[in-house]
Amino acid sequence: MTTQRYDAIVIGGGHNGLINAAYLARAGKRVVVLERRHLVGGAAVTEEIYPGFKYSVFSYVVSLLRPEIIRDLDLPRHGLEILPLESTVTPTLDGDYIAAWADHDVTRREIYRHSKRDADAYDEYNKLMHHMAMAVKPILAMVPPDPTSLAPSDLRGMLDFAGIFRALPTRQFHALYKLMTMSAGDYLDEWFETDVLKATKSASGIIGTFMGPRTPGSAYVLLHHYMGEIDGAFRAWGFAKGGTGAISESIASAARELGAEIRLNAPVAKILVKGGRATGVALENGDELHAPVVVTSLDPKRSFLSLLEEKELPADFVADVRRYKIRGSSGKVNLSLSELPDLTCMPGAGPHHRGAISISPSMEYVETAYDDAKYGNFSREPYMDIIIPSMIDPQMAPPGKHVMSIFVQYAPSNIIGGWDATKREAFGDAVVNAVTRVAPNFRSSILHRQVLTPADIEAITGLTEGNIFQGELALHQLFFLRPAPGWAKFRAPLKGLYQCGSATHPGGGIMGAAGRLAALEILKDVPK
Amino acid sequence: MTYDALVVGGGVNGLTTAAYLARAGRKVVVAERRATLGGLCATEEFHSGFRANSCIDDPGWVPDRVMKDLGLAALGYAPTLAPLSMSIPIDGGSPIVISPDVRATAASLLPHSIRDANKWAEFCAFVARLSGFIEATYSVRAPAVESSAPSDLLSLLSLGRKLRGLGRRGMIDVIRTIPMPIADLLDEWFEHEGLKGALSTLGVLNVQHGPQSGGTALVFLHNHVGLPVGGIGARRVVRGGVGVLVDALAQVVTRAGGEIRTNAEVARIRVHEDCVAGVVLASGEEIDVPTVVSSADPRRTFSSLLDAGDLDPEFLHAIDCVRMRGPQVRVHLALSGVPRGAVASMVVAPTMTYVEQAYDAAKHGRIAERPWLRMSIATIDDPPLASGGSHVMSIHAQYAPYHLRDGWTLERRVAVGESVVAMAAQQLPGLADLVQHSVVLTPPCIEERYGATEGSLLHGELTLDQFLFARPVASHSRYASPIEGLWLCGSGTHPGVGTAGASGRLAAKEMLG
Repeated sequence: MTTQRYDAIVIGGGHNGLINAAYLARAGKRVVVLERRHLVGGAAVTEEIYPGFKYSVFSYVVSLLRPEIIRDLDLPRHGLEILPLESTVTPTLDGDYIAAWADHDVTRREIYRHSKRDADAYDEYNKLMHHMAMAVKPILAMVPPDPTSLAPSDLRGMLDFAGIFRALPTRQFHALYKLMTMSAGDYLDEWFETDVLKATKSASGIIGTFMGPRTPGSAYVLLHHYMGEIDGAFRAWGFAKGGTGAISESIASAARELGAEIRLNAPVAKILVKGGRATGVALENGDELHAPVVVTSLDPKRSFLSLLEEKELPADFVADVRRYKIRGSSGKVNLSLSELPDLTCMPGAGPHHRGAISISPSMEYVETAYDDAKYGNFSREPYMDIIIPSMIDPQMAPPGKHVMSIFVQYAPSNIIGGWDATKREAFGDAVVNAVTRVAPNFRSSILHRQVLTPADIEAITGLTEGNIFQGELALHQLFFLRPAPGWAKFRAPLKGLYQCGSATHPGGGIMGAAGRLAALEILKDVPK
Repeated sequence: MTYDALVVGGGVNGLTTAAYLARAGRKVVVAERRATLGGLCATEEFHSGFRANSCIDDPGWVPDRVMKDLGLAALGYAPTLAPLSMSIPIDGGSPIVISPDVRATAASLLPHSIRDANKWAEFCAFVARLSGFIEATYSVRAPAVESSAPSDLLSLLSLGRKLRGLGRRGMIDVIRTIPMPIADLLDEWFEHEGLKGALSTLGVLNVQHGPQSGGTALVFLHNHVGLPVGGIGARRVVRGGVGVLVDALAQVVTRAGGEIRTNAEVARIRVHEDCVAGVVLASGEEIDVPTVVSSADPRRTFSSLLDAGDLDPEFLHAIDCVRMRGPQVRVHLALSGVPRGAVASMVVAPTMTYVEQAYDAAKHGRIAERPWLRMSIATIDDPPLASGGSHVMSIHAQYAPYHLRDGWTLERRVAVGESVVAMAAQQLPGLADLVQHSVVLTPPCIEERYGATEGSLLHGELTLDQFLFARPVASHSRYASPIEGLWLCGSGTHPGVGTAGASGRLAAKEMLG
């Protein structure tokens, strides 16, 4: 057994852990990142599962990575390159489709084809959403104040927070209030009449949550689409050259250059506590590392209920962590293909293969997919978001071949009877069937298939219940309530222990804001 | 005859506003389209010798201020909390009886779950604390969150102070609980499926949402405003039916010099240069009046009583977007006797999943095959509602949505009534033989008969997005409308249904300045 001393230890080498370490290292701290797996990235990894075929195994698109992080860490120099995903095509049940393209005028004409009224509403809608997103964006860079505290910094924080809303023109404030409280379906009903348009848009409101498009609270996530850097586009998503893992690698490279140490194959067994403060960690191999600052990027159930003992924490905090809702709702299917899927509604190869294909033909379809999950089954006909990374970055597959990434919802973590190999394959079959319905050559083009259920996601990445956001983005789990009331400022009820994962404000997606904000808070607490 | 103000609709809120205006010396006339007053809060004969509360069994919380200002107690309105509020039949076991007596309820839970029995008192206190805070917001007009006027900032501040008064944990509880699904809240407290199933119905009562829908915890808390600690699901019993409240209010109006006209349907509100000019009745009679107060729901008021050209399209669009969605069917039965084992109020909702599944049907535009039921036999507490020892049973069944995929037909109405009675008979064997007559009110029936758009008993769902400053729409949540001289005072405004007379009083207060 060996012991070593650092200024700070970061548990978990996902994007938030790495960003946190990079910022601490940049401030001259001696930092070590401990990653359980043989590669960095957590849920943002690229792996060559089959020779020549590289999969963005879990997370597959990026839009929200904070620009200040890209700048501060000089990520492009470390290899980060974001390629735009330019379109979304949704095949409809009657053999038609609705598409959104990078060219705004083309998109408008396409919507006009379905509804004149919606084409008119489309511009107005985009404008309003864009303005709201810009107004709300500063919240992403805020440390949530404690609304119950009378400390000057908290009162100021609450005033700043309220100020953001009050600065909005009345009409936008009202729209924002509706967005925070309504269902995506009801909200879109106020704007559009084309069912498939609403289905595709509302599907983006349910990604990663255990809600349907008609569940109140699902409208809020619609706004996220307008917070990306490619302003105003229907789908402001990008794909990292080299897959999502390339993002993690670039951050890791920046962190190393700044002096951080990154240890792979180093699973943490326990957070060490002495005299009411965190003093370090014990690895599964028995090694102990000591530091006055321990930062966990894991979700709160893992951090507080499994790496710590209950008696080391206040009882009401433990109760709050217990009732924090994590619930995994999605799965992932990665495929190697011998040829491109030939869509019945859009035959042949075309620009649509460089964008997303959304399997969300109607509101009813997506809502029914949710109904299955609500009662503990995977969706027999799931909602899917499909991209073909090899069309954007040819390095992802051997010449002439392709890789496909399918995000699938719903696959509940608490499936009746638990997940097993049979259910996993049945789930994979449901996905293949649903895609084959819109692209008949699909089934026979599959060379390899990797099916990941929430149980698999949990087993590989350690994310509780396989939830990609480390806890639902529901109104009662946001901002100063994330992950627990009173502990939203990246600290924890143990001196020296900090949180920096997606379970803290502002939440999931490859945003990195939590990792950065946590580092800035830590640096306020520790002597220079 | 000239009037200062005309009130559209003789329901609880319309009459309350009229009473306040009349007492302030205004010449007021109330125009009610039906032959009887009361609107959704009427007690009517539905079969010779049988009277029932037509749409709602409980008029809701009448704020103390209204009771006192209008002297309602002296006029005979004296509701009592039923000693037995809700009985939950459990398959093959003793029923759970939830009553305002906290200890008795805990004792009734004991055979089913020791854990839940132990938590009951704490849960009652929790609900009372949170709904107490909501009650405070109901006694004043809705806060104007985006206004910077000193009076608005002050009222926001006072609201903030009330919130602070709850202490750290209490504040967190309020902020955290309101947007939650009722299912999550109940899962945090209890383990017994039957208990959770029954309680969850109080979170989805009259709204087209399921227990897993966000914000249904607010509906649950709203339904407990004005009730004492322990009054979970409690019902106020009014001898003579809920119509007694309406009679009392009508007396206040006439005594103060107000006039009440029944069979006087307002067909149109006349507007001249953005100002109210008067109304036209269905009979063709025209009444010139400078002020019109509508207790009809916002959709009916603005989309059907006014010409589209009178209003700004953006405002009209916002009104058209107000979610009404009546999700319930109500069945009145004339019974020759009380079914064996029946009590005054029973809930059939075996689990939260059961309720959720019933909601799924409505979500997809279908009638639930197995709806949850709340059955009441009003004559047990109030025998004179039926003559000669007979009884009246009213069943509230959810969900039967207004927007039915294939539309409502007479056959569907009959079928849903039959299936509701059959379900009730499963709980109460022998019921079918006692039924002498039945009346089925679907959402379209309620719309047609009472003028409530989409059959919504709430005049618009009371959910987070249609609450406080967003009720009925965020730009106009303080009773005034874009038309000068036209005001709203019905349940579609803050604080809304379940708080009898609160909207009516606040509207009158705004008008009188």
